Amino acid sequence: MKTIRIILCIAAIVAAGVAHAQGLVEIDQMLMGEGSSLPEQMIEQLRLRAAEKVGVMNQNITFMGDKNNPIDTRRYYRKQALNLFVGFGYEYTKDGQYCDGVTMETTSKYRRNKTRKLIRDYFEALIGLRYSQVKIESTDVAAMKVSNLKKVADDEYVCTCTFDQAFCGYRDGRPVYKDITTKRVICHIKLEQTIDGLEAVVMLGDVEALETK
Amino acid sequence: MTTKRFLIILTWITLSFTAMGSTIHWLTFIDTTDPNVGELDVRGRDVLYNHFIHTVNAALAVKGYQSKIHDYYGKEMSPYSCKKAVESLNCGSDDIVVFYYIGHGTRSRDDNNPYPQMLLGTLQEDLFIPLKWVHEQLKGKQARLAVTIGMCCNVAQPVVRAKNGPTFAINYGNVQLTDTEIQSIQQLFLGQRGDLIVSSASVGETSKGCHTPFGDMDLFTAMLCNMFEDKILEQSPLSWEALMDDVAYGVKLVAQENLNSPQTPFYHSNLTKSNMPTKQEQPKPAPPTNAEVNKTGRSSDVNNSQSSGSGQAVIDVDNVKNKLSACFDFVVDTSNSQSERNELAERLKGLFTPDAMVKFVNQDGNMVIDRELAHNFIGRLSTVGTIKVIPLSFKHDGQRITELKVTEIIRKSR
Repeated sequence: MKTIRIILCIAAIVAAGVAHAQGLVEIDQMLMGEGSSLPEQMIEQLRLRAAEKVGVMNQNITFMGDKNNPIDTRRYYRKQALNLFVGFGYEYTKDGQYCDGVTMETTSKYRRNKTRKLIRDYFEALIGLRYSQVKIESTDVAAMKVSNLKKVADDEYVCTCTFDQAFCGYRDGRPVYKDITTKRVICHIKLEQTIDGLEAVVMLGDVEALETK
Repeated sequence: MTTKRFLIILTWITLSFTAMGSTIHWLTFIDTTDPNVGELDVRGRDVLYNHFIHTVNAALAVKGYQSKIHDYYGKEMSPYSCKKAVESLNCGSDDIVVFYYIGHGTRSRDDNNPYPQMLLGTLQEDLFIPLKWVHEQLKGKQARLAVTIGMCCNVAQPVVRAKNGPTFAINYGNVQLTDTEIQSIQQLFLGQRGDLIVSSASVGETSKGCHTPFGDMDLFTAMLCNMFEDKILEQSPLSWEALMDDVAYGVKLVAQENLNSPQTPFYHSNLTKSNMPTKQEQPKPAPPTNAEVNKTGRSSDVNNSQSSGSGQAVIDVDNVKNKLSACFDFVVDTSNSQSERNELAERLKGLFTPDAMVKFVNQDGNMVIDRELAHNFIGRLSTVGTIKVIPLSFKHDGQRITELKVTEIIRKSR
């Protein structure tokens, strides 16, 4: 096993010369304007960055729901979590249209319709849920499904991250409500050419609830 | 009464010292401006930091270790700055010190040890510094672990290395560490005590450069970083000897079969197994002052500064970056109280202009993958699962920071 690992490392170093040539063709095409897409490496980095930001949102949601955490700290998390979203959770314009803020869809096994709330209100409601304890777990970043980047403007791309969120509400130590919802977040990626090179800004948009089990 | 008072003071002093966090010190001297190998060594420096040093610092931060980086390259790397940095380094008994040199090396027929002399950017023979001298100095600092690595030729002849060519990095991901990787790194740096000296080539051999998965750079550093990233995934405890044996084997094989010239790294180890220390208490650090920021000149890029070669510019810039790093460590560490973390975060905000930006750079350091207002970033730093935030460079207006580039290291839960 050890020998195989060493051989793999050596093979990687020896084979690297070939990898150089393949990668450069794509970058050259991009620099020469022969393709409208971003370099493959940047696309992968931005998809991963989007997933990481969704991961941070999920960590914040878990913390805000957890009644063991002090209420002031949970409110502090709410304030900080809003910075992850387009418009920092408040009004912004989308396709020239005024929006009150990014939204979050929620579902329940006992409701036929989905509910759409402003993300700032959703976080507030999460903090105030009428259970004695709330546990929320979500898919890890590495296991999230991240779509390909889609170009929506000269300097803007979007992708989606899909994950499962398991919710469990307790009363007097007993679980009284459980569900698993598949959610999908739209991630907005803005690009800007600066004197230091191409730079990106990744922000989260609306969250859809796809399916609840 | 006097005895009682003395004992109280003694206890207080003892407690103060045990409460002080331990530190890993990195002394890197990398010849990035040499006309022949400078460009290869630019990449060598990037890879060494992005694939080894930053990762190690993140894993040790979990154990409460602060990182102090002393990064000498370009015009700031000189025999004078090397001697000064090595001699003036202060270590605690639980500290770790790692010296890494990338550049030209040579030896004298009269040398009484197999380790090379480092040119450190000069051709003036009387200024060359023996690697063994550095190691003896570092051993004398009484740190728990002293590692000295010289990546240079070990023969008195011009360095023969591949010319710089196209580069394409292997890494597509950000820095994410699993618990297994964190434990492996902690085992490597905290599970052994003593000292280790490593030379990238045996007596009479050159150190080669070649195509590597990280781009064109020196073979030894590429092999070390590649093996390191591979071996920390293993479940079994990782030792310096096991790592260096594999690096030496790999370098020897590639040099022989692909570069048609021998290169045989070797080392001497005085390491013994040691119990892993319990998590170190981190004293609440102080952010750098406006005066310290101002002292760094207009840019933290020491290659662009008016350098005297004394290393002062490096000391000033690294001082600010190391202080920022210590503050970020404290703010992300969930074992510190939320109010203390928030208080420090608020103080940190005062060091940044209201519109200052934090730019997030990928592991290979060649791409800004996200940006955020510094005030927002610092505010939410205590609410995210980051293990370590590594300040890479900054700009300022003479008082406050206007832009900070960082790499984040994130815990990968499964």
